Amino acid sequence: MNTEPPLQSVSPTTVKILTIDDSRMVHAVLGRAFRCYNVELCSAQNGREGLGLVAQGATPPDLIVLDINMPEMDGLEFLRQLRGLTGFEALPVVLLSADSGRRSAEDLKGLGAQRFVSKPFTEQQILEVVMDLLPLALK
Amino acid sequence: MQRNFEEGMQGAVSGVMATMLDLEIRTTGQIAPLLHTELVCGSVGFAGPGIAGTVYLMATDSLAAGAVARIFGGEAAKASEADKLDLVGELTNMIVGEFKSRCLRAWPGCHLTVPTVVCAPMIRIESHEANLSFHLFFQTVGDPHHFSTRTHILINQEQT
Repeated sequence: MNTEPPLQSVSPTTVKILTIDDSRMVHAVLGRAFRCYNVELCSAQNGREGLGLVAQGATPPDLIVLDINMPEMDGLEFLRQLRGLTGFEALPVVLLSADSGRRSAEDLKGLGAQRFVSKPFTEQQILEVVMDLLPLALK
Repeated sequence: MQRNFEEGMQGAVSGVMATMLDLEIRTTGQIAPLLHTELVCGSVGFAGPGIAGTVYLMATDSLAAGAVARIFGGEAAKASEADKLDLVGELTNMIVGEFKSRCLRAWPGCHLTVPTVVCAPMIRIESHEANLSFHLFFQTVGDPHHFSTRTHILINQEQT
């Protein structure tokens, strides 16, 4: 008896990444970084807007790229509230900030984030960090 | 200390401009165009136990427009004011963050403010409380655009 699962056709999977930053420049750079990959980008200008997208979105994001220093609701408050939502306890989050050096793994664990990218960053740097958490398929 | 801070700021500006805009820059003497043209001025403050300050990035409108075209695509002449303000604000934020990591490690509780940006033909900035101030002038290599940074820092020696 054959117990192997039936073969399925493999198609590139589109992943959904939510970017939250108050700078349109950063959104533009992130858009360029992911342009060659099957990535659906959605964006928010601050934590409050990001929480709204997460809570109301029919399809939750697979990963969030999150600025820390933002008006209205900053990234750390967004992260605190996100981790309180059912189903978002372990969603991968990459923190962005100009306001610090390299954060230690313990810092990130305490903040509820998986990675930290210091601004300024190159397209290659953010790609490497995201692809370490989430496989991206080329278009 | 001032010399170290000036070198730290030069390094921060060079690094941010190269990483984000692929622009090579060099320092220059005081530049006349900055005194007479439309400027986009971003500012970011920093404060913590024993230290407070503000860094201003003043770019000519033509530099801001060229940078918008590099980031968003399109023609520099059609760059919107909103995009120029956003870009100069974020560049200022990155420069001050880089300056902090290079020069302000002795003040670990120091945090940055959210950037503010204005656009105006004449901008005069003075500080009557800072005990360390410096004004640096830069020029992009190749197609020459001018910009400057002005830094005012108040260090409380008793808390440092």
